[in-house]
Amino acid sequence: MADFPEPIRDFVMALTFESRLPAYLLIADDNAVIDWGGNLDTYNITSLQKNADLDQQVYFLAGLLPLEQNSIFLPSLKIEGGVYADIHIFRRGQGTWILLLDASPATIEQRRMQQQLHDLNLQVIELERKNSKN
Amino acid sequence: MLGTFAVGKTSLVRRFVESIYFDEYQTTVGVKIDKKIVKAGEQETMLLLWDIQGEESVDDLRRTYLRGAAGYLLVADGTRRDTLYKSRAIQAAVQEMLGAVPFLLLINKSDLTDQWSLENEELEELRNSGWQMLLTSAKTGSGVEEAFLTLAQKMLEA
Repeated sequence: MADFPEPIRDFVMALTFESRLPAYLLIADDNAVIDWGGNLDTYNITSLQKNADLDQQVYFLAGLLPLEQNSIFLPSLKIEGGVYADIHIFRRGQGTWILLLDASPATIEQRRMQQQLHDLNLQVIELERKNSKN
Repeated sequence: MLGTFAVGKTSLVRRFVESIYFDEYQTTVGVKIDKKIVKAGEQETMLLLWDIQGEESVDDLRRTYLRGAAGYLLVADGTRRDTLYKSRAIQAAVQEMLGAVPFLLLINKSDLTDQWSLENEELEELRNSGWQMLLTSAKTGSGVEEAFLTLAQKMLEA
C-alpha cells in the first residue's frame, strides 16, 4: 500500500469510509468489549457497555471468539433491519478487532441474480417432474 | 440450518421464531442470524439460529459460517429426491469440519405428499446408520417446534 501515492491512498480511504460505513469493536481475551467506534448504528449495535461480555451485547457475534486462527471473514451477514454486513475478525496488538463493513448493495444485487437462477432451476425441476408423469 | 437451495430452511426458521409462513420462495444470500429462548427439558436456553444460504454444491459451503456451531438441522425437500443426496454430502463435509456434533435431518414440505419423491428404503437406510429424522412442514407448522426442541435437547446432552 505504501507504493501508492498519498492522494490515491486518501481517495481510496475516503471512498471506503463513504460507501462501506465501517464500524469496529475491540474485544479483550476474556471476551469483554473494551473499545468501539464508527457507524455502529448502521448495524443495530447500540448501548454498548465497556468491559461487559460481547456475547451478551451483540447476539449475532456470540460464540465467534476466541479466534483459532489470525483472522476470519463472514460475508453478507444479514442484520435486523435489513442491512448486510461483511465482518472481518482479526487479532492485532491488544486484542481481537471486529470490523463491520456495509455490504448491502453488492449482496442485494447478488440476491437478485441468485433468485433468478434458483427460480429457473425450480422451473426445470417442475418440468422434469411433469414430463416423467406423462 | 443447512441444505441445498429452496428446501425451506428460511421458512422453517420463520415458522419457529415468528410463527409466520410466506408461500413465495425468497432465496437467502450469506447468512441471517435469529435467536429464540426455548425450554429444553427443565432448562431454558437461547438458540442462535444461523440460516445459511443453500448452495448447489457442497464445495461452495463457507466454512466460517459453521464456526462454533453446537449442532445443525440438515434440511431436505421431500418432493426433490436430489436434495436428500445433497444432504448426505453436506453432512459428510460438516462432520469433517466440526466433528460429530448433534444434527437432525428434516424432510420438509410434508404437506405436499402428492408430490413426494423419496423412497422409504432410502430413509430407512439413513435411520439404520444412526440418523435421526423428522418430517416437517414450514407451511402448516407440523413438526417444526419439535425439530428445534429436539436439536436443543441433543445439544444440551452432548
